[in-house]
Formats: sequence, structure tokens, C-alpha cells
Amino acid sequence: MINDKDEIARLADEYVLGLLEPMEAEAVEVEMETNPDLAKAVGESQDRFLPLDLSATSETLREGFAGEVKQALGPEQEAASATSKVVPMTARKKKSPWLSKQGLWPAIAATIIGIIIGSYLPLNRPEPVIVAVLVDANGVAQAIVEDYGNSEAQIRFVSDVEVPTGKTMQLWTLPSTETGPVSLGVLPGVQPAVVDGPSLPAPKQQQLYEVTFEPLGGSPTGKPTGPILGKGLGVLQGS
Amino acid sequence: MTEAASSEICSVEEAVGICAAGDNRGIDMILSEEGGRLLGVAMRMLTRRDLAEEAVQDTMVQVWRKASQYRAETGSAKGWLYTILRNRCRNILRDETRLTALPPDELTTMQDARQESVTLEGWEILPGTTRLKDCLASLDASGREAILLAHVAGFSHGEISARLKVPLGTVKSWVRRSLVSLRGCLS
Repeated sequence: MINDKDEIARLADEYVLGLLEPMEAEAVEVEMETNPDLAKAVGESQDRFLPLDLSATSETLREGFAGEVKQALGPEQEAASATSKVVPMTARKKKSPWLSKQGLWPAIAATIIGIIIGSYLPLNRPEPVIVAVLVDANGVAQAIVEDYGNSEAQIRFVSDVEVPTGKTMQLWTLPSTETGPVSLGVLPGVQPAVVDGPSLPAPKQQQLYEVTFEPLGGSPTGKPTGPILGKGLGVLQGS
Repeated sequence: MTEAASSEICSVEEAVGICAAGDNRGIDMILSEEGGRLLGVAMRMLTRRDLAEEAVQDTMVQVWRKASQYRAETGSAKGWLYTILRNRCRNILRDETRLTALPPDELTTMQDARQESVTLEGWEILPGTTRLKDCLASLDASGREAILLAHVAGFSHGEISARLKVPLGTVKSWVRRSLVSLRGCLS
């Protein structure tokens, strides 16, 4: 939890201006769920800069645009109704009030799949400390990350992933907003893999995991730079 | 009350509430109230109508998904809505695979147009006298331009650094200092 007032104000402004790294922005969105000071700072920043948005010249929407938009909502309408059924039960089971506020189908799907995976792992394998289901922008599961909390993590793909030519996939986690995103490793391809990342503090509930497409050999900056294949919040196992 | 009268008094707050209740007429209400300007903001950032329409559509999908997360006590629904839109626009701008799918000359035209979207006096885009305009006017020109390039044109720290021909660290410190000044001026 970030408590420093100046740091909250800076994060909020840079989030609203779009100046944070994608993973830092994700972390702000996650933390806003449980940190009312940060949520308020973001809301105030949005309103401070709103006149700039309102200064844009209005364009005419073409006929039929609203209809197309509503068609695009199709799967989400189902997701919305599924969410309302799943949230209370999941929230009770895990005693995590944030879930009832989240209303995010991917997070809930991740929770449920995470619990299922945690329950059915073969007995002769080490127990992961945390499991995250990485979903794409449409909420479709792409990969599952099991972090063993000892610098090793395993990834498995659950979708037909197409890696663009000349790109490689890299797995990241965000131990804290202060640390920023940390690479767990460059992945050998669309196949199960165990990566041996740097030594990090024990994973926390809701820790963010993400796979991005990066230049061959991995991100040149040491931070995620490419498009996101999928991202998800970790669910601590056995909690 | 007639339907027309009812749509006149609708606000984005109400429309988001209607979406949160699972009624997609909330989406119609938002598009009817703000759709033209949403497209305008997206055009300013992306400069291409096809990409701008895609950003507005993505925004509406996000609004539909996240409507139940919106909390009126933290800020206005309009501020929330436009932040989602600018996030979607930036996602498109940073999606290398998508942009390289454009014919090279079109990509060059688009990037040139983005460079022009905030002129040196870009802060004057704000109409009339607003507090934000006065406060932006009180900033150093470099910090003001960096903030406008980020907010209005969707530039990253790296792009601002290239555009203003100054090191990345300098841009970051200009932005931080200017944001502190702006918060002080607007509080």
C-alpha cells in the first residue's frame, strides 16, 4: 500500500497522463481497488485535466456506429451476467472483499482457474506459491503462470499463441509499484517452460504477471516495451 | 416524460449507472452525449479515422465491462470516460504489430500529423479562460509542452525526449516538477 501523499499524487497524475510503464499503470489500477486515497487522487487528476479533453473538436459519428459498438459488447454481456453470479460466492470462499468490488471477469476467472489448478496439481510436484491466469484484452486465457516463490516459475500456454516474426515472449512480474516490473525470463516459445528469474520477495496476493512480445533476446530496456499477450493477478495458493 | 426530454437530462454518471445495471442503452446515452467529442479526442491523438473509431469502440467495451467499478465519490464519470479513451488510444499507438501493418507512407503521414497535433502554443487550445489554462500558462514552456504532448497527443516520455531533443531524465524531471506546480496552482 502506498501511503506517501506526494507519491500518490505523482502516480495519479502520471497514470492519467499515460506516462507510466504499462505494468505500473496496471498496478495503479489494481491498487486503486483497495487504496481509496489513490483512487481519489486519480479521480481528481482526471477532473483537473478534463478541460483538455473537452477542448477537442467534435467529430460526427457515422450512421450505424452505435449499433456496431453494441454488437461488440456481445460476449461481455454474457461475462457481465456471469460475473454477478460468481462474485459473491468467490468472495465468501476467499474472504477477499476486493473481489466483490472488482467486477472484472478476467480476475474472477483467474481466481477460479487458479483454485482449480492449485487443487489438481500432481502430488510429486512442488506446490506453487501463487498461480496467475494471463488473459488477453478480450478476457481470453492465454497462459498460466505458477510461481514457486524460490525464483522459479513455470508457464503453460492454454491458447494458440502466434508469436510475431522476429519477436520473442518475455515473462514479467510486478513485486511492487516501487520496484517496477521485473523480468522472470525470456520464453523459449509456445511451450511449457520453467524460468529462473532473480531472487524476489515472496509473491503477494494479486501480484501482477504478464507476458509481452519483445525483440529477440528480450526487452532492450529491461522493462516491458512490446504489446501484451496476456496479464493476470496471482492467487496465493493454500490461503 | 418524453424520450427526448429524458435524454436531455441524462448525464454520463447516469449512463454509466445504467451500463452497470446491465442495460446497454447506457452505451447509446454515452455515445449520444459524448460520442462526437470522444471521436474528436481520438482523432487528435491517432489522426486516422479508422483507428479513432476503433479506440472509441474499445472504450465503450471497457466502459461496459468496468461500469460497476466506477465510483462517483472519486471523480466525475466524464473524467473516468476520457481517461479510458486516452488509454485505448495509447494502446493502439504502442501496438507495434498493428502500426507496422499500415502501408509505410500512411504510417509516416500519421506520425508526422502526430508531431503537429500539439504546437508550441498548444495549451491555447483551451477555450476562454479556464483555471487550467491560466495554470498551464504559468509553467515553464518546456514542462508545459511535455505535459500537453503526453495528455493531448499520447506521447511517452521517450517520444517527448526525442521531440524536444533533450535527455529522457530531463523530460521526466520537467514533467514531475510541472505536475507539482499544476497541482499547487489548481488546488
